Amino acid sequence: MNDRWKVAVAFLLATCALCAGCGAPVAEFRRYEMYRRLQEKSLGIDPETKTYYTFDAQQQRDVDDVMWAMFGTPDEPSVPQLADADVSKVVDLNLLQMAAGPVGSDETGRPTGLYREHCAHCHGVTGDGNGPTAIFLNPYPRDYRAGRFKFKSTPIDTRPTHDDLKKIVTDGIPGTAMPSFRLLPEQEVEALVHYVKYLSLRGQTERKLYETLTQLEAGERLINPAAGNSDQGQTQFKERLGLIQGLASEIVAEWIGAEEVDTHIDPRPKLELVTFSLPPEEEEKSGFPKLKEELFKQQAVSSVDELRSRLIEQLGVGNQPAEEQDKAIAKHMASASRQIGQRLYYAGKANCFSCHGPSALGDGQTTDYDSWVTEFAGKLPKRADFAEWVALGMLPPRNIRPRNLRQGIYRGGMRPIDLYWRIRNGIEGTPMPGNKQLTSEEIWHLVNYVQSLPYESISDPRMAEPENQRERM
Amino acid sequence: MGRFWSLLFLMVPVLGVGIFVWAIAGWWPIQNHWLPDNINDHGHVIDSLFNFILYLTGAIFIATGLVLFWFLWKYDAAQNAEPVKYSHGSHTLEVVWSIIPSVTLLFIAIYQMNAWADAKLRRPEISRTPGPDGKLHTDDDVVVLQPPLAEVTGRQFEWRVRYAAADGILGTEDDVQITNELHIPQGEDVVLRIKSQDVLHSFFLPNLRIKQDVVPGMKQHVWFRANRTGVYDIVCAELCGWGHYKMRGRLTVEDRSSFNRWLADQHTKQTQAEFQKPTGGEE
Amino acid sequence: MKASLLHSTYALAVLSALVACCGCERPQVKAVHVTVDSARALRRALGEGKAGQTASATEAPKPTGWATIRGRFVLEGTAPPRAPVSITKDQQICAPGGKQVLGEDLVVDENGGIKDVVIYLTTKVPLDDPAFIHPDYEATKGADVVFDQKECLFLTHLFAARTTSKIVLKNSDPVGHNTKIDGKGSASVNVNMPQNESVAYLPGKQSPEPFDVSCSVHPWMSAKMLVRDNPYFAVTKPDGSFELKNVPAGVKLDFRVWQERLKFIQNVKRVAGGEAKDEKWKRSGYSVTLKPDEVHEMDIRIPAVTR
Repeated sequence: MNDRWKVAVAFLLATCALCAGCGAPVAEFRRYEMYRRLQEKSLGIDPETKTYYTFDAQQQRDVDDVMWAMFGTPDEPSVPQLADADVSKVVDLNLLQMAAGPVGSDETGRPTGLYREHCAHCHGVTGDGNGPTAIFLNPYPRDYRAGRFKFKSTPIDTRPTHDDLKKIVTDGIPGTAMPSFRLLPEQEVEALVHYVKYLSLRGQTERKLYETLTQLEAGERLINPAAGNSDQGQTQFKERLGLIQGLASEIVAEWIGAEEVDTHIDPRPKLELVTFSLPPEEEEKSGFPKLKEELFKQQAVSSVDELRSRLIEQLGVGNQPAEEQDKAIAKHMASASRQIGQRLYYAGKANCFSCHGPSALGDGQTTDYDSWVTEFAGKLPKRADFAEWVALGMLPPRNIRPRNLRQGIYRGGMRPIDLYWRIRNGIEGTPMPGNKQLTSEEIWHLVNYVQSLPYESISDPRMAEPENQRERM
Repeated sequence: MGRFWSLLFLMVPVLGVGIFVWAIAGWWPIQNHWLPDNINDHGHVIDSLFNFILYLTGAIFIATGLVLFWFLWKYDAAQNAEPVKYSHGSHTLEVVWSIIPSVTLLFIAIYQMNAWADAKLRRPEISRTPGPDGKLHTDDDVVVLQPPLAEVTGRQFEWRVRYAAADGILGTEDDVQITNELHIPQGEDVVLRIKSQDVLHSFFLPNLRIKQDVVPGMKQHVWFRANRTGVYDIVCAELCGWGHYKMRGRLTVEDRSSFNRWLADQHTKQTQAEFQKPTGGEE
Repeated sequence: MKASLLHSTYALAVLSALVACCGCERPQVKAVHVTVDSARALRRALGEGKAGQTASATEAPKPTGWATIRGRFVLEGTAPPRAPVSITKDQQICAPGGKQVLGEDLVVDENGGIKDVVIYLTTKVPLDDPAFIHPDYEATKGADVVFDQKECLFLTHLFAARTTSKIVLKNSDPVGHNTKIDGKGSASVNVNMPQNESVAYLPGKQSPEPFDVSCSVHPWMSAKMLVRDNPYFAVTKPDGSFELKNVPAGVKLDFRVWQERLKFIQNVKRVAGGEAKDEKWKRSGYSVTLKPDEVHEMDIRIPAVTR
C-alpha cells in the first residue's frame, strides 16, 4: 500500500512539474500577418507556383527591425524621433513607461504594467483586439492597429481626439465588455490612453511598411543599415530612411491634426416659443425654423403670439399660471419635434429605417460586416473566405447589426451631443453613414426622436409592471 | 510519539483562538482583517448576530478541542498497558449530545429571525393607514412603500446605477445613469432596487452590512440608513466570470444637499446638448 | 500486490498524460524576433531626428516632347463566368422584372478584351511643370466628374480621376443609398445619399492603388476608385482598349496596370508583329522611355490565372 502510493504520487508530481513550466515568457509584439497577406495578395498570382507572390524573409526581417527601432518592445517602449512631426504631442514617453512593462511598481511607488493589468487580456499585447479573452466576447475588442475608432467626435477618416479616447476608457462602452475605469486615478487613465495611441501609431506604421514592400522587387531590401560602404549604398539608405520617416510623420500628423478638427455643436434649441422669435441670421444656427414653419402651418397662424394663444386654447391650459402654460407648450413642441424626427427616420432624406428597421429594432440590414473584416475578406465575404484570415489571427467574423434603438443603450455615450455626433459624422468602420445633407436642426429633431424611442410603451411594457414581479428578460 | 499528536491537536483550538484575538485586536501583520466599519443604522443587528454565533460556536469549539486533547493525552497507547475494553456506548450520552445542539440550533434560528426580518421584510414605508378593519399593523393596512432611490443593475463586470432623479420614478427620461458610482444621502432611509442583466452577481456593501445575490429575472430591494459620510466599497460577492475580481464600485455617502447637487450635476452632464472644444493650451 | 501496483501506476500514467496534453491549440501568430545589430543601427539612425534625405536633388531629365500609348488588354484562356449577385433589398428598383445582376469584378467581351483595367503612371512628375503636364490636361484639371449610381449599380465600375477634379457623387435612383468610400491614401467617407441628390467628394491625396466604393444599404453594390495627382491614367473600354495621349517623352516612366481580380499585372505576353512574346514586368510597374511623337502599342495578353 505504501509503496504503491509513493510511486503514484511521485509520478503525478513529476508530471505536474514538467507541465507547469518555470517563469513567465517575455511579452512580445505580434506581426500584423493579416495585413502582410493582404498586401501580398495585391501583387497577384505567380503563374509558376499558382499562388500569390510573397515577400521575402529578408524583407520581413527589415520590417521587424524598423518596427523595433521605432517603437521598441512591450517592456521597453520608445517613440520615433521625427523632424516633421512632434510625436510628444501625441504620446508622452513617461506615461508610456507607466503603462508598459510587467505589472508592478518602481522604487518611487509609481505603478507599471497598467496596460497589461487592465487591457491586454482583451485587447492583446499588440493592441490587435485578440487577447486571450477576446474570443469569448461579443462584440470583439477593438483592434487599434488600423487607427480606426468607432465612437469619437471627429468625422470618418480622422483620428479620435485625446478626450474621445479618454471618455471611452472612463465611461466604458455600455452593451459591450468594455468596462468603466472611472475608479482609477486620473494619471493612470491618462497613461492607458497614451499607450493606446502608441499601439495605434505602431500598427499604422506597420501597415504602411507592408504597403511599401509591394513597391519593391523580389529580393530588394526595404532598408539596409549595413550598406555604409559605398556612396550609393549610403544614399539609398538615407533615401529609404527618409521615406520611412515620412510615412511615420504623416501618421503622427493625422493624430495631431485630429485635435484641431472642428467638432463643435451649436446648443440644441430650447423648447420655448422664444426660439421662434430669433433674428433670421441666428435662426439657422440656434433656432428651429422647420419646426416653426410646421407649427405655424398646423395652427394656421403667422406670428408667435398668435401661435401661443392658439396652443394655450388647444391644450386647455388657459386658466393656469404662466409656468404651467410654458410647460404644456414645451411638451407640445417636444412632441412635434419628435414627429419631424420620425418623418426623417422613415422618409428618404435620412433613410434610417432601411438599416435600423421599420420598428427601430436594428433588423433592417443584418448581413453586413464591419471594416475590420471587409478590409481583408472583401465586401461580400462568404464563409469560405474567412478561413485564411482566421488562420492568420482574425477572430471568427460576425455580422454587424445596426443598433436596436428601442433599448436605450448607446455605446458611444447617451448624451445628446454623442447622438448628434453619431448622426452627423457616421461611425467609422461600420456601415453607419454620416449625414452631411441634414441641417443642424434636422439632426436635433432626429436626436429627440431617437431619445424618445426607449420610452414608447411598445419598447418596454414591463416598466408599467408592479414591483417585485418576476422580470422576464 | 502519541502524545505529540495530542499536543498537535491542542494547537488547533489554541491557534484558532489566537488568530481571532490577533485579528480582532488588529495587531501587525493581521490588520484590517476584522469587520469593516459599520455605518448602517440597521447594521448592528447583523453584527450582533455575527458576534453571538461566533462566541457561541467558539465556546463549543474550544470545549470540544480541549476535550479531544484530554482524551488523546490520557489514553495514549504508550502510557496505557491495559487492554481495550469494548463498550456498547452510552445511550444517555447520545441523547444528551443530540438534544443540546438541536436546542441550540433552534435557538439560533429563532434568534436570527429579527435580523432576517429587518433586512428582508421590513422595507421602509412612507405611510401606513389602517384598512377597513380600523386596526393598524394588520394585513389590510394601506401601505405606501418608500420608492427606490436608484436601481443598480449588475452586469459583467460593472454596476450600472440608474437614479430615479427628479420625478422619483425609475424608467423615465430624466433618470440619471452612471456606472460604478453610487451616491447616497446620509441619515435617510434609502431603498435600492437591484437586478442583474446577465448572470448571478451579489451586491455587497461591506460597510453597510448589505449583501444580496442579484438573480437574473428577479427585481429585489435592499434598504439601509447610512449614518456617516465617506467613500466606501461596492464589491461583487458571487463568482460571475473572469472579471469578478475587479467588479468594484464606489459608494459615496454625503449629506442631502451635496447629494442633490451631485445628482443635478450628473443630470446636466448627461443632457449636454452643446459642445465647444476647450480653448487654450492642453498639457 | 505487484499486479495492483502496476495497474495503479498505469492508471496514473494515463491520467498524467491527459493532464499534460489537455487544452486545444488556437491559431496564434508567431512573435517577432529582430536582427539585433541591424535594429540598433536603425534606431541610432532614426534617433538622430534629422529628416532623412529626400530623393536626390540632381537635375532630373526634362521631357523632349509628347507621345501616345495605346493598346488592348486581352485575357488568354477561358474567362471565369460572372457570378450573379443576390439582390436582397428593394428588389423592384434594383432588379426590375426579376432581371439577373452579374458581378463586375472581371468583365471580358467575346474577343477576350478585358473591361476596367486601369493603367496609371506611378513616376513622380512635377505637377506644375508644363513640360511634364500637357496643356490639354492642365486645362481640364478642375473639371467636374460625376460618379453616378442607378438601379442599385455604380455606373462606372472603375472610376479614375485627378485629385484636382471636382468629384461629384450622385444618386439617380428613387431610393436612398449611402456611398461608402474606403480610401487608401485618399480620404475615406461614408455619406448618406438621398434619392436624386449629389454630394461632393474631396479625395485630398492620391491613392497608390484603387480602393473600394460600396453601399451599406445595398451590399452587393461595388466599384473601385483611383485618384491620382497626375493626369496619366486610362481605363479600358469594354473591348479592352485604351489610349493615353500626350504622355511626356524622353523621360523614364513607370506604369502600373491593375485589374480587380488579376490585381497588379506582371506576367504578360506582348503581341508584336504577329507573334506573342513572354514578358515579366517589375512589381513597381512597366518601365518605358518614349520618343517624341511615338505611338507606343501595347497589345497585351494576360493569362487567366485567378483564385
